[in-house]
Amino acid sequence: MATAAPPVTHDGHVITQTHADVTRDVAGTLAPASRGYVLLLLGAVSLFLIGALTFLVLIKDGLGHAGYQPPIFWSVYITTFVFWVGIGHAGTLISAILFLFRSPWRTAVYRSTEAMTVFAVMTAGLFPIIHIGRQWIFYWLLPYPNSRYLWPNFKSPLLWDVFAIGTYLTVSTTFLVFGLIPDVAAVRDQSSGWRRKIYQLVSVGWRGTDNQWRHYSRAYLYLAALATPLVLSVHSVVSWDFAMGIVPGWHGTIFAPYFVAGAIYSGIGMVLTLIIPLRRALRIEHMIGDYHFDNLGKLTLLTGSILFYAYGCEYFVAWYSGNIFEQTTFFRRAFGSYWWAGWTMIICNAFVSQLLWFRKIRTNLTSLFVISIFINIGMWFERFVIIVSSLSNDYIPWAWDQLTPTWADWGILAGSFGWFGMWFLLFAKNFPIVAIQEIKEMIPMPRKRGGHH
Amino acid sequence: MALLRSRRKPGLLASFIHVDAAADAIRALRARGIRDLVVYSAAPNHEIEEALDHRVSPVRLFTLIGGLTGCAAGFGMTLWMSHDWPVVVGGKPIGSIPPYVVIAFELTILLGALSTVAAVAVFALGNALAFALEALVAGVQALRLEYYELFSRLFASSGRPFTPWRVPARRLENS
Repeated sequence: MATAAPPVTHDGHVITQTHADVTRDVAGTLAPASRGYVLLLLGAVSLFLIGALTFLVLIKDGLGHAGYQPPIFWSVYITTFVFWVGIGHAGTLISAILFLFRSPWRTAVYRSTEAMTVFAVMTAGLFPIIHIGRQWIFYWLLPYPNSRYLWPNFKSPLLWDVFAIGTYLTVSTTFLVFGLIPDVAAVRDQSSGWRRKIYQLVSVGWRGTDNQWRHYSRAYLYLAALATPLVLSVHSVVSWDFAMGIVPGWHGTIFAPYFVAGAIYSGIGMVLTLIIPLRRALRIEHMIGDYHFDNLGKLTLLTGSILFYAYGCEYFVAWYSGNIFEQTTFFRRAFGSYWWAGWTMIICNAFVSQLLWFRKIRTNLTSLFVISIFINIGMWFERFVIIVSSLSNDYIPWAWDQLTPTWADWGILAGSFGWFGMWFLLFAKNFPIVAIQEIKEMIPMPRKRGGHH
Repeated sequence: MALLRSRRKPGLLASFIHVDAAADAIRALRARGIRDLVVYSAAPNHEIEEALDHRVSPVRLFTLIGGLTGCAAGFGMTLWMSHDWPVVVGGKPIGSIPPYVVIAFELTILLGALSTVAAVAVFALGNALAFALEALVAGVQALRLEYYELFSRLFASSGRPFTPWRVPARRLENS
């Protein structure tokens, strides 16, 4: 070995692992499950069953159980839909956008965040179907030749959503599975039994030849380049579900960037909630350390500050517009009957994120975990406030009403966390949750003549 | 890393610890005109890529074609479907481009990404299609030669008994 000092990334992070360490440590995460893991999985599955049972009752009786009544017909299900789509965005930001920016800290965390994206969008995709009421004809949303030659209304943002979410789910799944190929091939060679069969199938004959790398690297680059505008577009389209309506509190031009920043903010919150316990459970603390959490914290701070600005901007524009409906809506968000939801959103998102200015807090895992829980709660409430508070006080005060979430709302919400957690836990135990190949790429290969190329 | 010449012919397998030594070996082999070498590595490496001096992967062509197809399909589908059953919505023109940009954009990304990954399948299916077309052309030509050029010249429908064909020297003499 000619390299005397350990290699250092351009932002000062020291790499101490060797190629063999990486494969060994990541293959170690696939070892038989501990009791804690089994308990977590059982918890997730039981939550999912609660959701599935609630859904069955909803199919039988209809959406009346969910407290839908005039004027509020979008409530907890749409809130949770936007929440889960948003969660997905941080994963694509880290896996695709930071790949194009060549961020060295993304390599250790991007696989878990990308898996989070796929499962979050899978969860989100269920909600419009639950929400439409007659779930068994959900395919009416798609343009397919039917006996009356009726086509969907492409001018409706709800249909844009069908295309945006469908594309997002397909492309992020493709990106995840494609990125897995070389890593699965690395663990394939040390596995046995049914797992080996699955790994052989997923790694599609990967051997790491020069031609395979040549095509693979190019294709990965193009997938990242396509996923980058996609992730920005998806939450913009979701925001237009609201912004295209003339409901006060929804009809704002700031909505697309505001929603994208919020989505990434909420997603990184979920990343932190997932990774902090996961790294201990899978014994990969040395692979995901202070360096990564520091950078995740900075990203949270950035997007949290954008949200802070967007909240301020919304209130300013409501006042400056001179429009009495807009002004009333925003006044009632802070001091009306939903004041508790409004302040939860502002405190959890705008203020709690400002704590991350301190490096001590960014690198303290306990404080980060607590902050991440605040972010999750705050971002769920942000969507609740936008949707329910705007609908509950529309243009006609006579029609104003309150929404009280019911057992059916909470059952489906709990079920969605169970469904998401179940898939994430199964993935983490059965596939390499840290990107072997990209970490190996960062470790310089030994050189006879020494130095860097 | 290992260098391996392709099978059948006696080959050579070499394993390297140092990446610059492997790159030197690749350059030396290529200088001697040896092109069919395969390099195995745990991760892509610029030095090896430079030594091999491959062309850029043609996968970009698939991304481009997929993306353009998606864009055209997005606009084509929305405009055609709007005009197929014209309904005025919100006082907008029947075919309104701005909202359709969203659909076209999403389909650009969708088909661009899928065709990037499906390049292998496209290659395989495209080749299979070319084979099939080739077989069809050859088959049609063979049938045409058989039935049109040969069979129809010699076959009379009057129901004469079959007599093997020979040079009709005698008939020429008679006429």
